[in-house]
Amino acid sequence: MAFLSLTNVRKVFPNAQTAAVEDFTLDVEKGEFVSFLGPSGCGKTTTLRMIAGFETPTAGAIVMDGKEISNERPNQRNIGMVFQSYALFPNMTVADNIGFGLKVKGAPKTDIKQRVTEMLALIKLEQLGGRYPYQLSGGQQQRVALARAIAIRPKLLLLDEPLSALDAKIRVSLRNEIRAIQRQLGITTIYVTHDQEEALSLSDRVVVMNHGVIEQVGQPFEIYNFPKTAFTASFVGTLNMHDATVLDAAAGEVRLAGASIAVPSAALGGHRAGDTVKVALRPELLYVHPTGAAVENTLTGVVENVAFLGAVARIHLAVGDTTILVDEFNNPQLSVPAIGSTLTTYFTPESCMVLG
Amino acid sequence: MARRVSWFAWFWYVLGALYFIIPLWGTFVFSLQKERGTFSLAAYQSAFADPKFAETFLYSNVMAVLTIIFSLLLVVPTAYWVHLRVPRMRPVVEFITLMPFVIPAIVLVFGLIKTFSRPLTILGVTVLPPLTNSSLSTDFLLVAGYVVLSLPYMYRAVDNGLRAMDVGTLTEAAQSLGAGWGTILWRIILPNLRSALLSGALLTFAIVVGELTIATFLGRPAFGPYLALIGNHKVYEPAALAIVSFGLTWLAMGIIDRVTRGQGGTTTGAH
Amino acid sequence: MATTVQNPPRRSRLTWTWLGLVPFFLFAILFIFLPSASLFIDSFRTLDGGFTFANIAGLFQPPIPESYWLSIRVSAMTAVGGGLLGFFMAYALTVGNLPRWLRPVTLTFAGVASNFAGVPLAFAFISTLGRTGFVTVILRDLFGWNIYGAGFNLYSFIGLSVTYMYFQFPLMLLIMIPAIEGLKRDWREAAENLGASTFQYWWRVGLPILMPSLLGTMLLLFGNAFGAYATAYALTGGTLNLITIQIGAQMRGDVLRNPNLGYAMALGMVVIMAVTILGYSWLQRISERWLK
Repeated sequence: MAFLSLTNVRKVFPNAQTAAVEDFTLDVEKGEFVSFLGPSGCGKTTTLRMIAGFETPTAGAIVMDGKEISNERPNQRNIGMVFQSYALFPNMTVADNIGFGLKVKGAPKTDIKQRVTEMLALIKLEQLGGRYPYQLSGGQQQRVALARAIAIRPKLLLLDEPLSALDAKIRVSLRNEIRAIQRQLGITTIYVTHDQEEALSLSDRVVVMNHGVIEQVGQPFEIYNFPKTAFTASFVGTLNMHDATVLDAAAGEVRLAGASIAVPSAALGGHRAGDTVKVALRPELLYVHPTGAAVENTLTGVVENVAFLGAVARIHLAVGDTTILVDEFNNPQLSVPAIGSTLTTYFTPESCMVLG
Repeated sequence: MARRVSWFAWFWYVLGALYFIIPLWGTFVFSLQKERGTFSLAAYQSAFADPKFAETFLYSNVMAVLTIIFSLLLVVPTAYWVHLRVPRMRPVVEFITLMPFVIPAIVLVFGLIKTFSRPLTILGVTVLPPLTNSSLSTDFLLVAGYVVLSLPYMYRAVDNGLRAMDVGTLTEAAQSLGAGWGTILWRIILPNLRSALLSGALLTFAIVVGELTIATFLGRPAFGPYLALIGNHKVYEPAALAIVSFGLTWLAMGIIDRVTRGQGGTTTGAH
Repeated sequence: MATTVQNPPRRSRLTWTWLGLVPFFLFAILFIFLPSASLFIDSFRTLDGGFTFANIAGLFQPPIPESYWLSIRVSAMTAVGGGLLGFFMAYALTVGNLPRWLRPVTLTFAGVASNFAGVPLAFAFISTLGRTGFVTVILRDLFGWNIYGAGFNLYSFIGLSVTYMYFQFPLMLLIMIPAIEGLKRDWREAAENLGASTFQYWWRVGLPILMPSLLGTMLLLFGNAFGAYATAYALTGGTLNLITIQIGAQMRGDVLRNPNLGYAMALGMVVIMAVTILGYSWLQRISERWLK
């Protein structure tokens, strides 16, 4: 039995036309780090708040550690939560904030003090226990909020977009720190974010959500390379996605941007010649220089624009009316193609995803 | 989460609401009882019939309008200049506008009389004759006192208005399009400040029209001292005038409420 | 070299920008600082113009301390009483889950009531709670309770306090509503999430965060009542020995037989008001820092 399981959870807010969350079913194992990923308004935060107890599900069951908790009050659930706004109590010092949960439970003073010291060491802010929140930087405040949530030894840790109010640099270092602490303590964690890079880099599994429903659940590698829906494919990572006409389903042949392209024939199962399908291609799987292997698929066009992104140069290639993005890895020995020049790009049939 | 309506909240709300309403209702009913055994508007008729009423009320209205004009002329350019050019002076200017909270009206008028009832001399040179000698110059002193009393409200209203509209950018945009200072103030800043100016003006009006302290000690025939006098001699007319005055305050606050809706209140005052 | 050339014109422009504030400062000096300073200076002068502390010492001779003390009591009483009533009413209107339509109505009412002071307010209370006032008569005739027989008197400490409360608690209400709404939902949820009950949340988080603005606003109410003259004068006709009434009497005719002692009384008031406002702005700063 999974540690946390949500079964057919549904949430409809009063006076709302549509459900905020619909038929949400998910099992989370003990010690797992799961992210909810989706655009704003997709229901990820609402689901998190139902687990925390701030919203009551309209239907469905939430079972944690073998116990149905949907009707338990939030202060009885023993679930730690970290808020986007940090939500540190401004009238208390860092130490008092961290010790708050134990204090309201009536823990002895010496225990609280010991736990606070432990937590401060964990987040590497040993010297700052006596400071007030307004004297800390955003990153420090969020670490304190994390320590406060962990101090009560929660069964489950929830993080609601904890990094989105922070600078890019701090975001990356803090997310690694969060993951390290989570591994060290083995605490089951649910992490809500709209940032796909964050979700992919942190999680054991990612739950992609859109319009209140789960689009796909899977490991980051799976989500990125084998998206099941057009939404997942386009929300996670950059993508070329274009309509193509099926030429020969059995042979796996489609017409894309005026060229005949081979795709995995299994992907065209159920389609007939003349059908329109969506073909998706990751820009980094298109090559400008032949890879050496036998290449079946080529597209030739004119270079419209080149955006140098650092690690890669993103080439906008106009093939007829279609613009194809091609990522070329940075290499100081090679110059980027000139705008207006003609270029041919290559890709393998296996790198083509056929969606819908 | 389902929240229940608590008796605790209702208890305090009802208590406060009764405190609001009972004196008003009591005064209103009382004001109708001038004629024995029946309700009538006799107290209102009698109050309005007194020629002194119209005289003093008119006088106070004129003083209020003058106060508003002077206060605006003083506060708007100052606040604008502070926002735009000398933000460093903001604490100093704000401190000065808050002085009436430290110097109550009674102390202010004490000081004004003491200072301006004799010639004002600087290093032995007389720069101002005594202001309390003629009624015109005393009126001037009265208006000056009222401008001081209005400073906190007027400055805050204008300051809020300026804050809400990003003066710096608007001014630079106007300058880049070739506008001069007059055009900028008159066609850009003032129209955008309309609701702030109106609320500051009405609040000033509400404070000044029935003001007693400064008018009494400067010996001017204003509405406040007249009201106090009526209170000594009549029984029902004061109640009628209290209702009228409450209605006027309500009108002023109602207009402020309407023009500043959604901009945060500026209707809190002190006495 | 090129960078230093820019300096002189900038400096001269700076002096010009100061000129924009001259009218304001001139007005402030003439009508605020000069009058205050002359009161201040003469508080330390003998009638012949010599320096003395006698006037300040005179503040501690009867009946002056009694006047200050009565003013302080009335102000403290109405600040705390009006403060609590206003706070609880603000609480009821924000988190008390009362019907929504009550709110705009009450706020408008409070805006009016907080500005309804002076002579008309005194009249309203005389008509309501005076010897023949509406409520007095109803209580006597319908309930057989003569409040004047029971020790109430509108023209006394208690009556003046009841009257002042009419503008005190709406002011508190108006200031506390945004303050209570400044409490973030996240704080409440974080507290709940950490195991706190509703009471524990209010006791350990909500109230402590509100405390600076609560106390600060009470100080503001204190100053508000302390400086009031018109209401008290119209209500009691100058029979109640408040400090403002004393100063008024001194201005009408030199009842202290020493004008400089009158100036010292005014100075004492300003000192008390200044301390009050300083306390208020200090608490306000803490509150702003927390609620940022």
